[in-house]
This record gives sequence, C-alpha cells and structure tokens, in this order.
Amino acid sequence: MTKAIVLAVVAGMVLGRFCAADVAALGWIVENSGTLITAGLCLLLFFVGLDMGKDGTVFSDIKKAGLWILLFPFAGMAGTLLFAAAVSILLPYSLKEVVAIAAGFGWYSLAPILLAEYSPIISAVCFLANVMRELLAILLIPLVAKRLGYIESVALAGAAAMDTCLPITVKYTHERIAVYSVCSGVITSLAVPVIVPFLISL
Amino acid sequence: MLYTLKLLSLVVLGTIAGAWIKKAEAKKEADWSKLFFWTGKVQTVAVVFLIFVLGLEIGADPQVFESLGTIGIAALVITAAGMSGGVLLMHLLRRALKFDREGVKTDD
Repeated sequence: MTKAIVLAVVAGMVLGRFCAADVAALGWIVENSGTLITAGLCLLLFFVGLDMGKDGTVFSDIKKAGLWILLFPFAGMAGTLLFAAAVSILLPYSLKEVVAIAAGFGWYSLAPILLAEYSPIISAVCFLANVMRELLAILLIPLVAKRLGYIESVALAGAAAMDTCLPITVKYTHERIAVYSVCSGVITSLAVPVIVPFLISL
Repeated sequence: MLYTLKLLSLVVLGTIAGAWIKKAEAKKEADWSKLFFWTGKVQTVAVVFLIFVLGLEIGADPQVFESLGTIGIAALVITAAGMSGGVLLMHLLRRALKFDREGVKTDD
C-alpha cells in the first residue's frame, strides 16, 4: 500500500511535469482535478462510514472514550504550533510567519489562500509545507500506528484526519480509531480559518 | 465549511447503510458480506488514484514544481517539526488519560 502510494505520487509528478501538456487524458485530469478529488473522496468516505456502521461499535466507543476524545486534537494543534515556533530560528522567516504556515495543519487548499494577501512567498511555503504534511502523514501513519500508538497516528494528518487520511488510518489501525480521526479532523479543520488569519495579523 | 459538511454527511450516510446491513445480517435476511467483498479493493484503488492526481497537480504547475527545491527545504523543516510536536503532545496526553496503544481506555 505504502509502495503504491509513493509510486503514485512520483509517477503523478513526473507525468505532470513532462507529459500533461501533450497527453490529452492527463491534461483533462489536471483540469478537472478538483472534481475528481471530490468524487474520489466521496466514494472513500462512504465506504469508511459503511465499515463503521457494520462494525457497529462507534457510539459505544465514543461513550467509553468519553469527552476526553475532544482533547486530542487540541494536543495535536498545540504540539504542532510549539515545535514550529521552535524551528523558526533556523529559517529566514519571522516567528509568526512560521507558526501561521504550520497552522494550516495540512489543509493546503485553504491555508495558502488565507496567507496569499499577506505575502506570495509565505503563501507558497505554506502550500508546500501543508502538501508535505498530507503526503508525509500518508507515509508515516502505518509506522506511527505500529510503533507509538493508534491515536498518535491521527496527529500526523492534522485537518486531513477526517478525509484524505481517514481511509489510511482505518486501514492501519482499527475502525474504532475512525471516531478519533473524524473528531480530530473536524476540530482541527474548524481551527484553520480562525488561527491562520489571527496569527498573521499579530 | 459547506464542503466539509458535504464530506461528513457521506460518512454518516455510510454509517447508516452499514448499520442497516448489520441488522439485516443479524436477522439472516441475506448474506450481505458476500455482496460487499469488493469494497476494500475499491478503497485501495481510489486512494492510489487520489494521490496520483495530487502528484499530477504538483508536476503540472511549473511555478510549484520549480519552487520545490528552493522553498521546499523550509517547508519540510516546518512540517517535520510541526508533525513531531503534534505526535509528541498527543502521545503524552494519551498516556496521561490512560488509553492503551490501540486507543482503548484502560480503567485501573
């Protein structure tokens, strides 16, 4: 699975760079990538729900885990912002710029737009950083789930925990973790359009 | 926001469908598991395709592709630090709340 994902990303980048302009089918995919990604996500998410429903223990799991479940995304966000702040001394950007970039939490289609007016360069770094977050999350979820714990693997994905990374998390952990992943993804996603503009306005 | 809600509603729809299938199975109305053996394969193919499209997008945008080297390192440093911090704090919280490695609350 991980091999297939790495191959898919590399193949996509190489084909996009050298062939998208010449091969009509690839050009069509690039032009309609937004629609395709939405359609693919819809399909995946429906199946994730189907598995959760068939498992049938979602609500008893939330009950058992209790309201604690809501604390995890806040720990994930705080950790991300703190560590990003720490490495800002290594980078040619200011503290608030680095922390605002990290506060995209992997939502690369929204966070760079929130920063576009502030600075095109910061916006570009934000795009790359958050694309990387999603890609790295996909690659690292199996490893972190195995070595550290199932809940920790949810922290990797940030905002993507409820969509792109949800099927991967469920595949490498347990249907039970889907509840953590969705809760974490929703709370983190809601935070992005609030925290990013706030940080950059400081 | 509306997009997020749309996606979430699909998870809910799936859950309802799944619960309904489980009920039907319990009543032995039908052996639904035989009808749904292909869902795992569809999921794998869909994930790989989505990732391929993301790669295609990056490769096809010359500005983004060329900037990969220069600002890429800064982006990688921010992301690596942010992800490590998130995992670390989540790990500490999980242990403080006494959840086991598989995310089950252990009562002592």
